[in-house]
Amino acid sequence: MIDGNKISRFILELIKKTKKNEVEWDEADFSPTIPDGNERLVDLAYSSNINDKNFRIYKYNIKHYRDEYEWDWSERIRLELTDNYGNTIYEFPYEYSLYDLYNAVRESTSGINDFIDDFLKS
Amino acid sequence: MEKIFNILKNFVDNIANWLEFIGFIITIITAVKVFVIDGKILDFKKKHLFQVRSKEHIEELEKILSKISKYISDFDNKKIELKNEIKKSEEIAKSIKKKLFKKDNSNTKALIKEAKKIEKLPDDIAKLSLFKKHYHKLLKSNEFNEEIVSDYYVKLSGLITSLTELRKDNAKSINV
Repeated sequence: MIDGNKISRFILELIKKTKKNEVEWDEADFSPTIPDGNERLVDLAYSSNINDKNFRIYKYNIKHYRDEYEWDWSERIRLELTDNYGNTIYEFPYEYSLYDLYNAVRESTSGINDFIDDFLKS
Repeated sequence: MEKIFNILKNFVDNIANWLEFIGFIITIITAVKVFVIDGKILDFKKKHLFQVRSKEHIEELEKILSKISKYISDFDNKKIELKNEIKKSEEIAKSIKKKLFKKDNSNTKALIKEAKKIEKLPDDIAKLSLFKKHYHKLLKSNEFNEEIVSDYYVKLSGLITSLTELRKDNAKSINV
């Protein structure tokens, strides 16, 4: 069992490196397998190869039951370690900082920063 | 006749004594029940208050967490901003602590303690006066650095996750 703090530190390092463009993310070649009915993928999934390990991150909705037949959709982010065919090898436990990572990944892959810089220069 | 009267009188006295005793027991049971119900109402009020107000607090903490993750990537230039965010998170955590039961507030307490510790850290020990330098050396305290903020980030992220889960659990018992 990995210590929770170690994982949080790892996620924070990923955020820092993503923001500094030391880790690059792309749109994932393999979409994640989502359990039918209880979860649904939201937006794109992103992947990155870090030290020969494949990571994938994506946003999804999950049913949160209030009662037997009543539920709300709550938004979650999932970070996984995958094999070369997109199969999940390890799923990181959920924590809020994954949102920061996901937003950093989206910002870096969208290229919006460079676009705005170029646009303002022109 | 008198004998019968005495027997009846004793009988009525006995019943009266018993009824008095039963009444006394009922009074005690009622008092205990009222005490328990009162406690439950107070618990419910606290839970309700947490449920109503915590959403806003959690959202504020989430914003602070995102800002910390942004500033920490440029640590040397964002020390003041980072300290401000830590201070803000401390104030929110204090407000949350008041709405939590003792059993649920260990993470919040730990975060407040850590924030207070960080606020006292100097930005650069080398720039301090000789006396202050020795004071910090004696206390073996560090200067404000990236490592310390990273630890704080981890604690804050953990707190947000646990508060969000607590809100979900509470939502099942009270519909807010």
